[in-house]
Amino acid sequence: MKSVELAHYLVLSGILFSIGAVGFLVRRNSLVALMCIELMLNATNLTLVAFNRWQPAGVGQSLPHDGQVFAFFVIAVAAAEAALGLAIVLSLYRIRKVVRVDDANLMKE
Amino acid sequence: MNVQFRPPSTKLEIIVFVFFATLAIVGALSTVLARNPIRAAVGLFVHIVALAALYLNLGAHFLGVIQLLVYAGAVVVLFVFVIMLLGPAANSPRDGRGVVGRGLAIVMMVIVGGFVVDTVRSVQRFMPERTDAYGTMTAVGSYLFQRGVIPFEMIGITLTIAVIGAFAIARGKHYRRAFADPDPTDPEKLAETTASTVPTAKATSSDAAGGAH
Repeated sequence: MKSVELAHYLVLSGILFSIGAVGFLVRRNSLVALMCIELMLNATNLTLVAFNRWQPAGVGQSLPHDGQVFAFFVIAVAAAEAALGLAIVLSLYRIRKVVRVDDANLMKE
Repeated sequence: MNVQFRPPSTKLEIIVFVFFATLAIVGALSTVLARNPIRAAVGLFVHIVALAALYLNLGAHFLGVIQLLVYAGAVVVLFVFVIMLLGPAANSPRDGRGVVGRGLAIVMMVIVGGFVVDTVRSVQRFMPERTDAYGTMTAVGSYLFQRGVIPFEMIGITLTIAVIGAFAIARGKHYRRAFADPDPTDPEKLAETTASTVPTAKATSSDAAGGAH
């Protein structure tokens, strides 16, 4: 590798997103499933920041930080999502004494 | 407008990228593969720190700091706290899905891989020269408060609602029972309950306190 290019970051991000997606589909522990969502959001953030770095500086606007600001909002939403998701996990454990996503079928009955 | 392209990355940048990219993949894999949720949380932590280093490598200093503060400082700690609250129950037996889940996962990987290859082929090759202000707190902050004020305020409202919602969901039945109990400091009600159901006032107050926790 002579130089780090955008393609490297995109491939890395794709790999990380795939790991997160596979984990979300394969694991049944609800805590680990939530962590896999965080992995996917992080991979998306990496793509946004990398594209932001490679956008030609200042074309059409004076402040080229769209990607970073978008990633900032994604981080904020991810924090809210983690808080709510973990609250639901705790609440489910109180009601049913389970953490497996398969057992979360209260609305089916 | 002319775009200045900078010379190929320095050795240090390449080393940092390779090292932390490997660390990020290792962290992600250990998150997915670990049997014990605490190990998964540690894997997530490693992954997040590696991504923060990659952000710094990309010149996004502000975002690197935010990543460390919000993810490593808050989200992972929240995960660890919940795992701690659940205790041994957090470790669910018979983890992992059957054939359908695995098949779906493989299809997903192929689709994402296809998109990545398609994008990489058409991608711009050279990194443009960045200004000194790029990615600093001043520059990102002034962008945020010029073009992104409304989304910024909305994210504040969203976070407030999320926190209130998390309280409402997580506190569950125990609190309601605690508040439904007669107030131990109220002498009239205390006399009633002492006479009828609860043997001593001490038991009532300790019940309420236990329920509140």
